[in-house]
Amino acid sequence: MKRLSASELIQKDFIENRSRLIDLAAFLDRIDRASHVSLESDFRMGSLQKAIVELIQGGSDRVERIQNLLSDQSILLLESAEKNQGAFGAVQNGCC
Amino acid sequence: MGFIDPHIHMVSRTTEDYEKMAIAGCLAVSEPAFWAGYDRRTPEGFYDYFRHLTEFEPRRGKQFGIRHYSWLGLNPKEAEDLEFSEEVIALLPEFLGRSNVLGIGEIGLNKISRNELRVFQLQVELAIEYQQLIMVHTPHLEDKLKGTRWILDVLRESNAPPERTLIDHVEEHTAPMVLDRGFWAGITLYPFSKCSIPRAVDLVESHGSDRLMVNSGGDWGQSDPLSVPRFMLEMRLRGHDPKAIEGPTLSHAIQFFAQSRKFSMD
Repeated sequence: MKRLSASELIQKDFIENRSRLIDLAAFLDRIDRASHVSLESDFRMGSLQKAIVELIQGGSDRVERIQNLLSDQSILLLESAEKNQGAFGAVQNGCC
Repeated sequence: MGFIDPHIHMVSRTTEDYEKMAIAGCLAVSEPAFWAGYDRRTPEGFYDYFRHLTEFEPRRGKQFGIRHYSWLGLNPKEAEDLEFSEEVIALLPEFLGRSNVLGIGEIGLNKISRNELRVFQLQVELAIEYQQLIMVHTPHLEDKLKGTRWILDVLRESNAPPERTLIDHVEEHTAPMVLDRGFWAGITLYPFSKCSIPRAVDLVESHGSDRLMVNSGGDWGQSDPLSVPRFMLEMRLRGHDPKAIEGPTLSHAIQFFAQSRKFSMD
């Protein structure tokens, strides 16, 4: 079988990704309406904004660059994980 | 076309899910021991869980012609108490000879603490001592990259054989380092917190499918026990031929699991 061309991939997945983009825009608008605080004041939203900038930079490694931007790049072990079991999706100390 | 789901927590799924998976072509599942959603208070709680994985689930699967294999171990979320962890690990040898046990798993790291790392090391050593296959859980979200690096360090220092070790939940930023070191890699098809189906196909297209297999990671969270057949559909829609689809959804799992003499598709 022949793998899909770029135009065939666009035909197949454009509407779904258009929807995702609008959902993201709606999410940001919703937060704006709910708060007068800037988006960057929450570490997760600050990371999301940096990721959006990365998204429009181009190149074929957007996913890996964004994954790295949202990852803890440190090497230190936690002394204890007893009261720290969850993950947030972004790095709290504002690294990256 | 048949498939194997190499990582699904059937203990959290209904019998109807077994039936739906069988209808979709599921031939076998492998179920690693994991966190129940709460910390078990006693080692005996784990003992009962290991019995469940080795006695009850194989019977449920058999009703629908699905072979059920399991992996036993202490997950990293419950590994902070070293003394407790050692008591649980001491239970494992009694179960490793059971007919559906493929190895030690899912073990690994969660928040990457000193005690998690020690418990992971102990279980890797046990797996090597008892010549068991190893299934490794890599951490979630922002912790995955750091945790995967530590896991690879521990496996190297322990001389764990890469060809007998599956490192699971890889994503775009961790798959290359796992595959480049000769390990098997699992991609978990999970709606939000792991890898989507289109991205998983992207990974296969970018890196090839050698030593890669996909799984649903189905559990008590938002997850889909039919995500492996959905992945097969996405590959077909993107123009991949049946042989290419069979690798990450069936034959690679058979190749990896068959290193245990207990695994059979006959």
